[in-house]
Amino acid sequence: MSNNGNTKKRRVEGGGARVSIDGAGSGGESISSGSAELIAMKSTIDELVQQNRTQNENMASMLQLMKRMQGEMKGMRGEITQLEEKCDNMESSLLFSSANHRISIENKLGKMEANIMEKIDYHEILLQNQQWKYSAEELSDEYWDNNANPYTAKGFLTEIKKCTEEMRYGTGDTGIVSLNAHLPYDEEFLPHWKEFANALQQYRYYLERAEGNGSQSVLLL
Amino acid sequence: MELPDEVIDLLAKALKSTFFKRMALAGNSFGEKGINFALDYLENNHKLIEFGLVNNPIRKTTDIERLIQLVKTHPSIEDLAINQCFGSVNGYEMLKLIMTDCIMNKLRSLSLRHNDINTGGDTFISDFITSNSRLSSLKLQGNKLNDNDATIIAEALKDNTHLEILNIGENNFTNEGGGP
Repeated sequence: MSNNGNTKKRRVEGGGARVSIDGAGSGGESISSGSAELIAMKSTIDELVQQNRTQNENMASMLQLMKRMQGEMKGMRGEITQLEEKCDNMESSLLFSSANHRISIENKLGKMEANIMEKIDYHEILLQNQQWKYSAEELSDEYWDNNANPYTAKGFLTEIKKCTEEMRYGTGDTGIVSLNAHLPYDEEFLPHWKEFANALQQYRYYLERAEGNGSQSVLLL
Repeated sequence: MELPDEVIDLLAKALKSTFFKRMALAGNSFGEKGINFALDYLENNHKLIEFGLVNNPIRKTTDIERLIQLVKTHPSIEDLAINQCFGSVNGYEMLKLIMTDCIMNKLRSLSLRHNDINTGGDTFISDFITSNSRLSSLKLQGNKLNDNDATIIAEALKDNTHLEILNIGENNFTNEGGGP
């Protein structure tokens, strides 16, 4: 509408676009021009609506994507927790297994050391025994002249010496120590018994070795 | 082999760490000290499988009780021979003490020869045989078992599947009793 030649302006704003309709002095040309502008505006509005719809769709799509990603992240967090647990378990299992392995190795080493020490002891005893000599003195002729059972006693002394030497040198039936005599004890035999007992004491090295070879060990007195 | 106290001392020291698997002491004419030496060796030697005392009188019941206790708790003993040792103690009572289940389930062979064992009509031996312990050898020669004992022992053998050797020779059996 115009009033006294003044130009009346109508403003339509939307989506940042601005269209002005001038009512003064334009006539049909002005209407035609306004229609074109309206069409342009509608087109712009349609474009804006379309843009808006697209943006909304994008937004919804983004929200869906975010939601899915959140779900996936949650799942990943669960997997991470599980992996951490697995890691912890593996770590403790590794530590435990490594401790067990260490103990097992230490045990094996301990046994090997004991075995080696035993062998060293055995060989030392063997070496010592190479120098060893039966030291109990033989009884005098006078003793035998006055002895009631000279043959039995001589037999016993021969046997105890033989037995003692076998224990020292590791000869004879290794593992079997047998003394058998039917005669009364005589104090003169004591040095021979001492030799026998000393040999018996160190004989444990032979017995341990014999045991390792599965041999029997017998003491008959 | 006579073993006086001074020799026992030497042997006890020598055998402290020398461990035989089988040991028998026969006719050593030793007293309490010798018995203690033998029992100490049984106690300390955990490798011992066979332990024998022959003609070495055990005069005290407490020594028998110790022997039984040691056999009960020993980790490896399987063969026990106590022959001609129950001189002044009642052989049959000693047999009953030794042949209890807990010992007999452990032993593979038991020899109680020449121990003056007289059942007096009691059925302990036959009951033991019926119980079917793992014992595979039982030697009771030279005791005072009679025809009645032989009969009930023979009956008990029907129920035993482990005993492979039973020697009851040199007892008081008559021909009528069908002794072995």
